Order: sequence, then C-alpha cells, then structure tokens
Amino acid sequence: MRIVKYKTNIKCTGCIKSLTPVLNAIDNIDSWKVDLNSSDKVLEVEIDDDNKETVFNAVKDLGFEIEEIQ
Amino acid sequence: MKEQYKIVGMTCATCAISVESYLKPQEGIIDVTVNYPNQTVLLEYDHSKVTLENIQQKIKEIGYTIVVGNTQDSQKIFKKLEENRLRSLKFKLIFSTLFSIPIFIMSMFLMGKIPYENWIMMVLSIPVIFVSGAEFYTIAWKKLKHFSANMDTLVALSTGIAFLFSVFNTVYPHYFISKGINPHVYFESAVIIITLILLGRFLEEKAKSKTSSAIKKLMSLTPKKVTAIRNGEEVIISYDEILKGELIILKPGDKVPVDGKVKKGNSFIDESMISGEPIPVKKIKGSKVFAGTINQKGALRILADKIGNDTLLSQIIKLVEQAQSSKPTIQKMADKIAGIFVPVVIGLSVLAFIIWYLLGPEPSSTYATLALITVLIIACPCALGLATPTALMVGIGKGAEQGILIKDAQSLETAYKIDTLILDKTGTITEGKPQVIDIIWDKNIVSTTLEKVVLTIESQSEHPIAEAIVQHLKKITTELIAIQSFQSITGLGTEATVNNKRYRIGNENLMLQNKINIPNTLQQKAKSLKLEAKTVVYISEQDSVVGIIAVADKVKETTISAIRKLQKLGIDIHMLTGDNEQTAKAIAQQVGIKHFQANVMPSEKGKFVEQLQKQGKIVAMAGDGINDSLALAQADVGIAMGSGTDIAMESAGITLMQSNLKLIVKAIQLSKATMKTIKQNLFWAFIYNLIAIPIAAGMLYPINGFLLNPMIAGAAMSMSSISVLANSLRLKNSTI
Repeated sequence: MRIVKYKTNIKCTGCIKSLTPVLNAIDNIDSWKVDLNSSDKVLEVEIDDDNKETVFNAVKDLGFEIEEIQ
Repeated sequence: MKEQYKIVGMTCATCAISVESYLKPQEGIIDVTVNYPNQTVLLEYDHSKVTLENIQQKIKEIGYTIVVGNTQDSQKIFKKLEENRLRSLKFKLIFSTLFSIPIFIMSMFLMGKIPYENWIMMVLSIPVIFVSGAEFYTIAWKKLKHFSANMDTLVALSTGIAFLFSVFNTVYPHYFISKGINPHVYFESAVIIITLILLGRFLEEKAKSKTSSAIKKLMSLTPKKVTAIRNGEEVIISYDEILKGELIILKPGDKVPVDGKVKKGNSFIDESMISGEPIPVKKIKGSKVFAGTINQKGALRILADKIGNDTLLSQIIKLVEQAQSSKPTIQKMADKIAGIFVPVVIGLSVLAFIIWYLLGPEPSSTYATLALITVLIIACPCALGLATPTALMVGIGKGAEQGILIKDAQSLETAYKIDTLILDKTGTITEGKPQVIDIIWDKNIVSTTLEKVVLTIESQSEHPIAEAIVQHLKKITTELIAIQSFQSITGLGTEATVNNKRYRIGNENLMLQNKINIPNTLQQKAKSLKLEAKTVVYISEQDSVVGIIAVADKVKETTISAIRKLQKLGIDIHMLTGDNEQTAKAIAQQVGIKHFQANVMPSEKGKFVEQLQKQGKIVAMAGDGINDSLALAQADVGIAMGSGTDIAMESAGITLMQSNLKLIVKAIQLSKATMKTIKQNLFWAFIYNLIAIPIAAGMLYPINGFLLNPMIAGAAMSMSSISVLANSLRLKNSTI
C-alpha cells in the first residue's frame, strides 16, 4: 500500500464526475481523492502495488494534465 | 422498438381485438398486442415512419387513450383512472338503485293506487336508462357494427325495448285500448335489470385482479439510501442518484442496489431471491453481485456496472410484465351464452311476429308487434349479471379461509382445466433453507462434550452451513466452552483449539490436507449421504474424524402426498431447478417426479412454460423466487408460495399462505366447484325467462287468452335473482 500524489488540472466537480468511473474501475487503486481547494489540484491515490502507470495513463487519457509530485 | 403502454377505455375483450386490428394496418406499425386484463398494449413500431403521438391520435380516433410516460408514472395514472372507473361505477349503481326502488314499489304494491303512476315511473326511469345504463347502449351499438353480441347487447336490447314500449303506452295509452288490449308498462323490469347488472359489474370489478405492481415491488428490493465513495469521501446518496461506475459500500445486512463486482472485502451474499438457492454465496474481489440480493455478515465495496433499469432484476421484471401482457383472456361464459342467445331470441321474436301476423286474431298486426316486443323484453334475465361475480366472490372468500389467496379471478376460472404442473424445487418442494438431517458419531464416541465443542466452534463461524449446525445443536445443548484459538480457512472449514485439543470442522478436503484419518464406517456413510445430494461436514478431534454431519434442504412433509394426489388427478408434474443435476435427481426421486431439469436459468423457466403451452397444455406453475416469476406470469395459472418473494406473489394469480403443496389440490377443487356454481347460476338465471318466452310469444293465448303481463316478468326477475344468490351461497357451505 503506498500513497502517490499528482499535480493536475482537475478543476471542478464535473471533472471529478468523469474521472470517477475510470479510477474506480482500475484494479490496483484502493482509494483516491482530489483536493480542489489546493492550488495544484492534488490527486492523492492509494495503490496496492508499485504500478503507478495505470493512474497516470487513465487521467492522461481523459484529457487532464497530470504530473507526479515527488 | 418495442414498448408497452397502459391503455384506457377497453371494457371487453373485443375492444382489445378492435385496437389491435385498427392499429396493425397503420403505416410504420410492426406489431400490436393488446392485453385486456392488464389493460396494456405492446407496440412494436418504426420510429422513422410513425411517432408515438401519431399512434396516440389514431387510438383516440376509435375512443381509447394510451397513457404515455415512464412506467411508474403511467402506473400511477392508470391506477387513478382505474379508481375513477370504480368510483363512476359505484355512482351509477347508487344512482340507479335510488330511482329503481320507488319504481319497483309502485309497480309491485301500489299498482292503480297513485294517479299518473305511469308518468311518474317514466320520469323516474329516465335517469336510470340514460345515465346509469348508458354504457350498455354504447357498447351494444359498437358490437352491432361488428355483427357480434354479448351480455351488453342482451341488456340493451331488452331494457331499451321495454323502456320505449312503456313510454309509448304511457303517452298514447289509447292506441292499444282502442284495439281492446291492455297497455302494460315494463319500467320496473328495465330499471331493475340495469341496477342488478351494474351491481354484478361492481362486485366483479372489485374482485378483479389488483393492477399488478411488480415495479413497485422492485422498488422495495432496492435500498432508499446508499453509501457511496465520492472523491475519497463516504457520502450517503439516494438510490436515484447512483451513477454508473460508482463505488458503493455495503455494510452487513445491506441490500445490493446495483449489478456490479466486488472491489474490496469478503462476505456472503444471500442470492436466494434471484437464483432460488438458499445457501448464501461467497463473494471475494472480482465476484459479481446482483441488485436485490442481501449482504450477510461481511463488509464489501462494489463497483456499479449496471444501474436502474439495466440490472438483471429489472430485466426479469420487464419480462414478467411482457409475459403478463401476452396472456390471452378467456371469454366470460355469460358473454359466450349471450352471444348465442341474442340471435336466437331475435329469431324467436320474429317467428312469433310472423305466426301472429298470419294466424292471429284481428287486429293481427298489433298482436304480432306486441308478441315481438314482449319476447324481447322478457329475454334478458335480471340475474344474468350476478351469476358470475357472486360465485367468484364466494369462491375467492372460501379460498381465503383456507389460505389460498386469489388475486386474479381468471386463475380461479382456469385452475380446474390444468393438465400440467411445474414445480420449482427450492422453497416449493423443499423447505428452502439448509437444515441438519443427521449427525453420525463414530462408535465408542461420547457425544455430549463433542456437541458442546462443535456448537462453540460453529458459533464463531460465519459460514451459512455453520449456522444450520448451530440452529440444530441449540436444540440439544446451549452450553458453550472456552475456546483457546480459532481460525477459519476459506473454502475448507474451521480449525480451533479447545481443552488443549485440536478440532477441525469442515469438508473432506480439510481432512485430507491435514492427513486426518477417516474411519471406514464413517467414510461409507459419507459416501452414501453424498449420493443423496446431501452436504457432509466432517468433525475431527486431534488426528482422526469422530463424526459427520449431513446437511440438506429438506423436502416439506406435505410434499410427497400432495404430489401423489395431483398425479392421481391426472396432472403431469415437472420439476425445474437452478440447482445441480445430482441434487435435482435425488429430490425428484424422493418425491416421485419423473420429469425434471437442473441448472435452469430464470428465462429458461419461462420458455419451458411457453413450450408446453404451445403443445396445447394448460400449465400451472408453482414457485417462490424472483427466478420463478417469469414462469409464474407466463403460466395459465401461477401459484406463489406465501413464504416467497413479493415479486413472485405479484406475478402469480394465486398465493398459498402456508406454502403447502396440498393447497394446490384444494385450489383445483375450489376452481372446479366455483365453475360448476357459475354454470348452475347461469342456468337458474336463464331458466325462468326461458319459460316465460313462450308465454310472451303468446303460446298460451289460444288456450286461455293469456298474454305476458308485468307480473310474470316481475316473477321471473325475482325468482332468477333469488335462485342465483341462493346457489352461490351453497358454494360457501360446500366442503372443499
């Protein structure tokens, strides 16, 4: 179990709505949330394994910008 | 595009045919099926060629209304219209009763005592004929245009002629007096026939099946509030707000709101309402779950794949409603008789006219007309409308006394004809939940301590079979022992240490994996139990098995004798089950059923019924689960178990309160008795009027100069009503 944080441009609840089914369906994501109040719109994801690709690709495919925060 | 709508304004099975035949040739319409008892129409049409509005318009042209809107809305509107219809019927009935009573009293007891009595009676009967009786004339007119006749035709013809003839005699009494004939009036006969037929309609409407609300029952299977995870937080949302792809949290005891798959957690889910199988199914990550099932003791997170109308449950319900809508109506016996009777009566009246005209005394044309009119007046029996509803009501009441709830009067009218009965296994033939059948200890084992040990260990387990074992052992002992360690091994059983001894309770694999010795005698016993399709649970102490427990879904005590009785009645019995071949075979053999099918899906059950119907069989189906509901709706007579699901009860016409198959035998006997009573009632309704027809035609005239007068009409009226009521009440006292 590890937590990964990303900087994104997910700005509103509408974006979250489109993101929800996709992220929910990804097998190794345990939980996730977007902090709309932060300036970086941080997406925090708890994943089961080390495969961070799935999250990154899924968000990217939906047309959002995503960048991991180290 | 196939859609189902409620349709308003149909009052008989012929209306249904007229809607069908009117719509079918219209451009763009592919198929139309009207279901008269449900008052629905199943439309298949080409969107590009015709719009729904157009179809609505077309149907309006012939006097019916399609209710458009989503299913729940249209159900609501339809219910309201149905209520309105009952209310207007009640109003018409009260209205006609109020006016009929004074007319009846005047004509029966005060004849010749009140001045202008004919005028008063005429004024009083106008509202009865034109307000309360209006529907008979409109329906009769519509029928006439198709050259067909039913009960309404007979009523309209008889009362209409009686009224017009009486009005003529009231306004121009001199016409007949001048020809030496006494001008009788028949106002009371016209209004009382209308009142009594309306009474019958009212009773029947009340006894008619309540609008089926399977959709409403579906709502009760889904939770109102759901806990979902949105943006990382648990939020409580209402059922309607669930989105596709949503993560939903299921706590112990929660109803599953959607079809989906498990994302996280372990639990057992009770799927008996869908599959019919009583043992809850284990769910782990990736397992599929279905809306309407109930989570047991674990917590789960599920991913919503299909929501709302797309779930398996909704699909089943839709199929149920479609099956109900394609069910043919049986023609009412009274209508059937009237259809033959009307032309015969008209023929007789014309014959009477001709004979009088040719052979009668002067003025022969007057006598001939008089004979024609009086034959038509006497033709309609007053009790005609009471014959069917009174018998059905007594029959339904008698059923209720015995725990047979008849929702749909049509099932009562069909049940006596059935020649094939399909039984669901779980919950219908059997009790529907796993029970301990037997506990066998190895020889030289003292069982008292062991029983306590097993009870203690199994109380810790969440497995559904463990629950059955606990239930059973609690009857013997309630004492628990301190446990030192407990571990449950998924798919195998449990392991525990009690009194420094290692115990294992579980399946054969658990014993084999731990290299535990199974004594030969127990091994043999277990083998034969498994052949009978029973689940065998092994109990080991240290390194050898000390006892085995047989668990199975028991056949109800009453089942075997009930099946034998039904077979004696000449009914072919089939068993359908979603369970495996081996269990199905064992149960079928035990209860004496030759034909059975295992691993049957819900939709296949419906198909099976349909196939038998195509072979010309009259099929009854008895079941309890949602998986049976399609077959229950499709069957000519659907019989639901009172212990079953609401949807099964909604789909079936008959519900057995005690879930006892012997009641099916009783329901058939009740149906036989009720139909016999209806036939007798129709005989009693018609017989007095049939006797009076020759008098009306003037058969007695050559002998003693006797012609029909209102007293004879009145006597025929009261005798037929009294005989019909008395005969219906006789059904109440019959032994069934």
